[in-house]
Amino acid sequence: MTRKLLFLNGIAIIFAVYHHSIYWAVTAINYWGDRFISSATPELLSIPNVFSLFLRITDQIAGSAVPAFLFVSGFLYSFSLDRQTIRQSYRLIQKRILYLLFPYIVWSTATVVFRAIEGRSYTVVELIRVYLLGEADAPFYYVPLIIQMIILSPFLFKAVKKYPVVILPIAFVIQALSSIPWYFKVLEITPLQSLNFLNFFKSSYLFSYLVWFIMGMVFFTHREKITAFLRIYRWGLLSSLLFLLILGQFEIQYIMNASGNSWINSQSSIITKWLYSLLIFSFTILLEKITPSSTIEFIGGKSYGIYLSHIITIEIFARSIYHLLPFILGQTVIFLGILVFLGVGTPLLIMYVSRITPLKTIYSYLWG
Amino acid sequence: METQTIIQKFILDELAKGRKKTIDVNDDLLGEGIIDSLGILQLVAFIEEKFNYTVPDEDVVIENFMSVNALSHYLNQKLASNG
Repeated sequence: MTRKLLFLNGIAIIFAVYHHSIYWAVTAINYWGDRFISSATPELLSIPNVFSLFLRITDQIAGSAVPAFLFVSGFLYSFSLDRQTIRQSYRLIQKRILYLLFPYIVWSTATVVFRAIEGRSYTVVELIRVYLLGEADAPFYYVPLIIQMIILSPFLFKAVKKYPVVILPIAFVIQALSSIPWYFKVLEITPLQSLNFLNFFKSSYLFSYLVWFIMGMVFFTHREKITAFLRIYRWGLLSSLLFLLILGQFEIQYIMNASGNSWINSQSSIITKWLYSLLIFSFTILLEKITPSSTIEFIGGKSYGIYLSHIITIEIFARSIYHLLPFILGQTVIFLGILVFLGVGTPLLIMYVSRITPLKTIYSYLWG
Repeated sequence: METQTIIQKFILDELAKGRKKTIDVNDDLLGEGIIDSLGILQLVAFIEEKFNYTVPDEDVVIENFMSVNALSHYLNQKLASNG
């Protein structure tokens, strides 16, 4: 089972690349229509049909990538911190944070330079935010987020060991509270003054994502009990999963209609967040039945480097296709397949080159 | 090749790239940042493939993965008892 978490990590990074490739597929449909002839139009995207539902459902499921990373991290940090004192734990954490930070700085800088070449300029405050809050590009928020969780992990782990039944529900409640302001924003609702306290949760990824890190810790400490429980109620779990998936689709359609948007990133929805929790639980029992592919495991082991570098990679390839092979833009599934393949494959190729050239001495500082 | 040498070589070639040029068999793998927590999973996968031995969940504990020495000691014991 433990080994299969590497497989889960591999699936998660492929999901992450797919999730971010969808952005380019939607961009092609909404804004690059003059470059190709296709039935994939902005109107087709905003109404429910086989095409739009395929994109929405796969995007919704692929959005489980970061929750899955956090779950695996929660599990592994529990492993590392088990039976360690707080002082020993922080000694261990120090090194880990360094190897997360160096590649993050390198790839944030690369992204800033790339955007500058594209014509964007940055103020000093914006640059500070890039490095401090992970604003080089949308997915970079993950690094400050995981670092916050790692810093908290020695205390979280002790709390999870002592009060698992209390900590996990609290984390779920905090997550639910942190989701409410998103609904106000996307539906342009002015909340009652008595709900102003929710602003405290508004811009914090930590409150929204902590639950999956804690789930990983709880799974580490009580995995036998949890998997036995999930095995008994597997059909209930599957039904709930399908129910949330369908409910989530109705919710997305409602929000799209109400807000007038042709595409909504469903990750902020509370229904989708519950769906991710159930998906992760389902995966833990599904993993018992499947033989992991060593290729996916290999990709799982390189997930951090792929995560940091895939954004620039898929943008370069999406724009190249726009200029050189525009007819592919209208073939959304093929376009997505190419972006995912290159979004995973290109970083792996550059990593390989780094390993066999003098760059190997700084390999961990580039890729983690 | 001896179990210890095989594990040491894998860690050095695959997991500690750019972190350490040499590792001692008694070095604290996690504590000294030679490998990260994901490296533990890669190590488990490697052992299962290379030695055709499935590491049970209950054996994935810090004591068995503390150092090359601890891991090879654990593995030699298990491989011997499995015949």
